[in-house]
Amino acid sequence: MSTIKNFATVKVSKSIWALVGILIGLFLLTSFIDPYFFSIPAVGVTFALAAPLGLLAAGQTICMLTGGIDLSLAMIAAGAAFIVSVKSPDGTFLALLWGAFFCILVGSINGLAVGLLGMNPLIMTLGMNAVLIGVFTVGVTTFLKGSSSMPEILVTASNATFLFDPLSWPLVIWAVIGGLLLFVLNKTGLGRLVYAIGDNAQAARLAGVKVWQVQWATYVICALLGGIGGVIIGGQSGAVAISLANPFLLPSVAAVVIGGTSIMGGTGNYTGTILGTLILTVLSYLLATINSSEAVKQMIYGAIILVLAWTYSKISQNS
Amino acid sequence: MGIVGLVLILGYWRINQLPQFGSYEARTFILGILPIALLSMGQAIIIIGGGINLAIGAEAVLINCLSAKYMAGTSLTESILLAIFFVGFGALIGAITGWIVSASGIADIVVTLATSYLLVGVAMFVMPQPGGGINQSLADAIGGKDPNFIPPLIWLILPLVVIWIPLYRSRTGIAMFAIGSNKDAAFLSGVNVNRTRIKLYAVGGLFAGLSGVVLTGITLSASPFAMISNTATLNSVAGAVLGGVSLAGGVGGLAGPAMAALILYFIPNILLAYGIDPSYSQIITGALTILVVLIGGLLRKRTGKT
Amino acid sequence: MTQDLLLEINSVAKSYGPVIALKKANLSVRPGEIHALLGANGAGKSTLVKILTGVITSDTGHISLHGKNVQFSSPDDARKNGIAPVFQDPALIPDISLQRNLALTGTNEKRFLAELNAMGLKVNLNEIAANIELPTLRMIDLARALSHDPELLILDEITAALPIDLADKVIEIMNAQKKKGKSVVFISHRLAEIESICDWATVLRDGIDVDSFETNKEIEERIVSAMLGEKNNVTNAKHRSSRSLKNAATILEVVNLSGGKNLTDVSFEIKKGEVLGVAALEGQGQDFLFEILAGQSKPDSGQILVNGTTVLFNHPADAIKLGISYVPGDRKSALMPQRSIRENLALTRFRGLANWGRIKAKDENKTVDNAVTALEIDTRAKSQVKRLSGGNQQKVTIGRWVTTGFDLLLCFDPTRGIDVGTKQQIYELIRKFADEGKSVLLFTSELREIQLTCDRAIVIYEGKVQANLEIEKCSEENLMNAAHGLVVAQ
Repeated sequence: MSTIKNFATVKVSKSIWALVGILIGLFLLTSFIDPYFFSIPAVGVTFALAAPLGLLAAGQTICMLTGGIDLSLAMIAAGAAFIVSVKSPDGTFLALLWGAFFCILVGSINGLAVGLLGMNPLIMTLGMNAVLIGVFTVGVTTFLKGSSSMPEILVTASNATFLFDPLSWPLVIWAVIGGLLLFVLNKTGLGRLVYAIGDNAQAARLAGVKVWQVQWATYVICALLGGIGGVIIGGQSGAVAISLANPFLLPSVAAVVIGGTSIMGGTGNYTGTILGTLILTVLSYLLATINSSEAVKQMIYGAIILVLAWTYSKISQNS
Repeated sequence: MGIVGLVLILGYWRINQLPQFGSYEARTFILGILPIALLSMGQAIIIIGGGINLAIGAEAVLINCLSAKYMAGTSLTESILLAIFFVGFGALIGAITGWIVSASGIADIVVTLATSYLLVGVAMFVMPQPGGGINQSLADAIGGKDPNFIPPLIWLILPLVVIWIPLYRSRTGIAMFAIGSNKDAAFLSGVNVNRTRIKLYAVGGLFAGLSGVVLTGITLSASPFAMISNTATLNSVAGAVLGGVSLAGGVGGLAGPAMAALILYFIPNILLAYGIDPSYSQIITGALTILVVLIGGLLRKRTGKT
Repeated sequence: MTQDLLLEINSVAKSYGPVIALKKANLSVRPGEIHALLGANGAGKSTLVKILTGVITSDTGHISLHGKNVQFSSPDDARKNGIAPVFQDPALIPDISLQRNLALTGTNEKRFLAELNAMGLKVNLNEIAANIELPTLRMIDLARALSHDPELLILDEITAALPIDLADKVIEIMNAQKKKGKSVVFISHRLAEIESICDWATVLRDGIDVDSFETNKEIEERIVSAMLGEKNNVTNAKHRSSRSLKNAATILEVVNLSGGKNLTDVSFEIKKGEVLGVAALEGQGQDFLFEILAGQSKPDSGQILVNGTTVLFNHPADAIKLGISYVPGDRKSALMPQRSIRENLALTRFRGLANWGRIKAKDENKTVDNAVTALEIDTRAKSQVKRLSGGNQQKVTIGRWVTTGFDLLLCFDPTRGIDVGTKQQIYELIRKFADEGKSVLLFTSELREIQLTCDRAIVIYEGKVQANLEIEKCSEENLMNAAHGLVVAQ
């Protein structure tokens, strides 16, 4: 019982309320233009589609809280989906385990390079991204030859509702993992250390913290979150490709930024990211609804990120 | 200095692979690297000044599209004027970006993330389908008429000599290094941080504009794809970093990134000649970038720390 | 009749939202005057200096130079009007050469080299600023300021952590400026310096100038009481308990330790419950000594024994496990600015993997509250530690170890740049630790503190222990001599 109470006592700040306001505003605007949106099934679909972005953004959140970033996350997501689909003849559970193993491996390389070798996370994950693209491009024709579609059960699950609309399996998974992440960040020692090394890693080290361990954990958790997101994306679309998660990479960073986490580290939270994810998802729906050209969609997307980030910056400057 | 060595080794290797190496082959080299080298140089300047421009590829693509659209079927004089105009326009976009960073207080990564979408969108708007053209004489002046490799070589070296070296020595240039090294110390030293930042992104944008126009001259067309701009941006960061520019800011030059572009060019071509899947080059490039930064970082670390 | 004032600051005020940094401050400086500006951290001193040097603008009030009203929009502006500041953190760009630094500020190279020469220093102009040690860098900053022939030189606590010879040079320069009819605003917490050099003193408290007087006689008490106001609880800290440490166990022994740039051969020991002072000029190896003992750096040779067993530290956590905790000289390297006081105080509790799990809130609250009470930390600015005053921040730095517990506390110049009232509290805290049976290794650049707080002192000169003095022999004169390598009676 007390743990549930702990979940609920997450501090809500001014900026979170602003984001909620923006989300509600966008939702009403979209519903005004497309009345169908203002219905439970539509909301359910929106949540389900937001889930993978929410998971990738969760990974970015924890990286950015430590002052880092993971630009290889899209490839990790796609890679995990790939491995799960290739290994699916051995059984779904085993395939998922292989996927997890892949995430832990890549996350460890990223985390240890950043933590032990002092690599700049931007460059390390950029390089890792290139390496993964190369590995999987080559692999598709060689050692990763296999099915190019996700196992049946995962496809069904990714598109099914959970008990009743608007709940769905992706949403439930996102909710559970999101709740876990909030708990870890706010109520555990690991969470404190994530904020600590993001704010001043040197101070943490002098206080006896093994900073590299925390960074290792950060990038592994990030990779796992990306992997789960990738599997859901694969399940939702049914097929896997290397570019599977590419459209999610920059938005995953954008969602975190819109949500108020500083890219410099040490301050922010996942609650904001959740709202940022939902805002971006509703926005995508809105842009699709008004049937604009690709050009206009891109421009509006960029403008919205800029406007929101700017507004947020001004709010926090005035407080 | 290791970069020079690497370039020479790879260059030697590649040249040996070719049945012959004459000015035609040299021209192919230089044309292959010119756009990305210019982009890396622009990104290098911005990183030296403590920023980063994730939209630099999009800027180049936009200028590419604009110039290809309006230069199609024009006279030489018109094309030249348009080229100058669009390069300047690139600088303007850069300046506006720099202004947004200063005025909003948002981190460079985030601002340029947003502008990358904006600029790609505008590029798509300007040119929904690949196409466009350029005055042939101007294209020859940029890319050199086969097998003349001197013109593109000039376009590689000229910005370095005419823009970078005077800038480096000037007070504005020192100010750029200053804000990249320590903003507070720069302010106390009398530097107007915001104005310097605007100039910084403007110069970066100038190089992006050059890259875009050069691309039009070489390909005689333009294509507005987001993926191209993202790849170009990431390559420009890799190029800058391989070229010895520190991501922390305040350290580096432009000659390194120009040469690093050669490395990024040689690797896939060498592999291709051996019949190896060029996708392996991605792996090598990625690993190489990591390695170079790692070694550079370790060399900078002081000894004796636990 | 008001004579021709060089500088007149009138009713200047500055607020940051609800926080009032300056309420109504006045300051008058005559030509050819060395004027001390005093005040506790948080009194408004640094805000006043920032306004005067064009770093920020005031909300109200005005500044006049030679009777003419001026408003500075930037440091460059202030410099053009003849005001040259030299801050504790030299305003030099670290990654570029000295020559380019000078070009950036439009400094005449010849003039600069002449000034530097007069200080007895030589530098290579092509040297990157980051590779130059801090004391030299400060003098370079000063030389640069002098090259612009300033009417008003503002020295913001630069004698702190300067070796005694360079500090003397600074004083010489101040007197030289005075002779030329130029003025100096001198900010320092070193009352002895102020008494001997300054002509006039202004004391700020809570954003207002509360006292301004000529410094021609014993002014220490007047300054301190002005700084502290009615609650004048400056107790004489000379209440060291006279316990005998003869039979106490040795908790730390250092044998022939060497390493870093300056540490050549240091040996000493600390007993349980002892406060051992360390006195030294800058750059004699003492900072590396502390880093080695803290587990932050590795020695080249030598041994460290804790409770009789030889140890090797690979990480600060190793030292902490053995009860050795470190309060670094630079507060920035010990605190997390955006996090709360609670998170900073509790940080040390999350060292091991075992502590990655759920936080036991009740336990944490208890220990954090204990530390806050024990150190009298002002918790009004709860949300972010960066909003605290320097003195409060220092208390949080020390408080982190109170929550975890320690056997030996390494304090590197803990009272640097801290107001008198907090200094007093820290002295008493150190004595309290000793009374509780804990040990303290204290390096201080203010020699008078040694007699106030320590049981014994060692003096380090050129990387070796020059003298090992019982407290009776720790007069400032003795310590100063030993610090210069002279032999003193031990």
